[in-house]
Amino acid sequence: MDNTVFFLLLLILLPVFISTMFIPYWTRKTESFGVSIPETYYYSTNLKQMRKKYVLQTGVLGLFIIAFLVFIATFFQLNEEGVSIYFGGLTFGYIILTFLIYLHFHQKMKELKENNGEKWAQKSQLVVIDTGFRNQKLTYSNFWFTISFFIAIFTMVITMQNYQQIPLEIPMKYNFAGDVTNFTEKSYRSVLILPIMQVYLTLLFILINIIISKAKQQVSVENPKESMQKNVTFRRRWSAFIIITGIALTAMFSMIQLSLIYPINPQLMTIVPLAFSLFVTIGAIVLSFTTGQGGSRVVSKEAFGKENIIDRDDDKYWKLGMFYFNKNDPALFLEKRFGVGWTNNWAHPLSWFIIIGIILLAAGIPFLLSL
Amino acid sequence: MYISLDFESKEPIYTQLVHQIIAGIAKEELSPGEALPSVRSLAADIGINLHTVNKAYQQLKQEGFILIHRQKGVVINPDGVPQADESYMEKLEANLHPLIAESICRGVSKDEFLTLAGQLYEKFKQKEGEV
Repeated sequence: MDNTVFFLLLLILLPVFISTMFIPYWTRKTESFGVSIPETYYYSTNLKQMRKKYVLQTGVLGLFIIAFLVFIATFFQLNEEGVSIYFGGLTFGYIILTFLIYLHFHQKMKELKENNGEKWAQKSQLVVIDTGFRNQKLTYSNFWFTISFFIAIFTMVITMQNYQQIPLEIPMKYNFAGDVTNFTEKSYRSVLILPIMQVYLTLLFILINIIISKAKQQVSVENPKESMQKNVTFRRRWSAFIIITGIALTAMFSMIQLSLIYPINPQLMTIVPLAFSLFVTIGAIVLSFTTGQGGSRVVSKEAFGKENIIDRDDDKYWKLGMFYFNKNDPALFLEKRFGVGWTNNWAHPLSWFIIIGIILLAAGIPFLLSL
Repeated sequence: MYISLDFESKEPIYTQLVHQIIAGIAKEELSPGEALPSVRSLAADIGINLHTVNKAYQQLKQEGFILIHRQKGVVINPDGVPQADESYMEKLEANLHPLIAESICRGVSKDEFLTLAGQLYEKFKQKEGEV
């Protein structure tokens, strides 16, 4: 494994490590390690220490992974396949181990809540909603994605017009050095893989934008007006991020497709995807840091958090504090408990259809078209 | 308008919903013609069964507080709420009856009762901010 590969892997892993470590600080202050708490207790020394410990433990784990990579890089001569197996294994191990660390903290948090039962559950549990919430502009328009569709159609037309110029073998996979490692034979179907993926991904981004606008209204009881405004900011920022990322991604795919027809500087072909991934990961981290889950980190002037009110305590519907199962709730999408973003109500069959459909299409399109 | 529901309360959720929407109209936080969320989206936002919201909306519709259009969705009755008639006065009397009876049993004087009722009535007339 040479140094560039090692450096690239590090570049991918670091943002993942950072975003895992700081999740407890990015989630809502009414939730701690998947357990709902009164907002005031977020600032208690006990919870402060727990968050610090979590950062420490996941941080040490990340360092171990990096050390392991360094070890492999120095002592083993691995081919492309070996690197991807090791990398896949390490990532998988990291996900499992961070989940176990989370579970440990979740368990501790649950015990803490039980022990403080009388103090924390004294006040009644309220749900506040604003009847005018959905009359506001929650996301940016899906019409922005017409740009993506135009790019995809433009790419298809160019491809078909220049079909003769396309080499007989189309690259399907690149290694880290930018060399082609897997080809498929040229046909009218196979040259359309990328443009069709563009359409698929744009539809996926539209779905995400719809999820952002439809997701359950979650307003803090202590300060409904302010938390609602923050939530609107949260949705709009992520919507803008999704739209920009979606358009940039389709543009990048077009560049790759056009490189089949026109000579494009190979350096550019490695730099652009790298720059794109950096932009997306760093953008997501910056957004998480400045906005927080549900807009909880959006800067506000008013001070709040004085009473012991608990937002609706729906802990029993959150399996392991992470997976929402509530048969009586018609909501399909809602904010994650632990992390930034949205998740599904897994008691809703449609959730499963959507997730399975997305995976099948993603795997099926390249497979069917390259047959 | 903010609706706040107490899941621990003995009062059923749909009754709480009905009372809060009527209170919203009384306080003029909901104006005639204003749109309310659809049954599905309100149920999803609160996290309760569709039937619960439906039940509340049906009751409000029957009493003339809201209209449910197939296309336009749910709106606060644009012509205003039907004014009190004989049957409403009868219902009011029937509702007050047990309250007064219990107050007398518990030694609440007529003055106390009337002052409280007056204060509550005034509260509805105050606009937000003029506390």
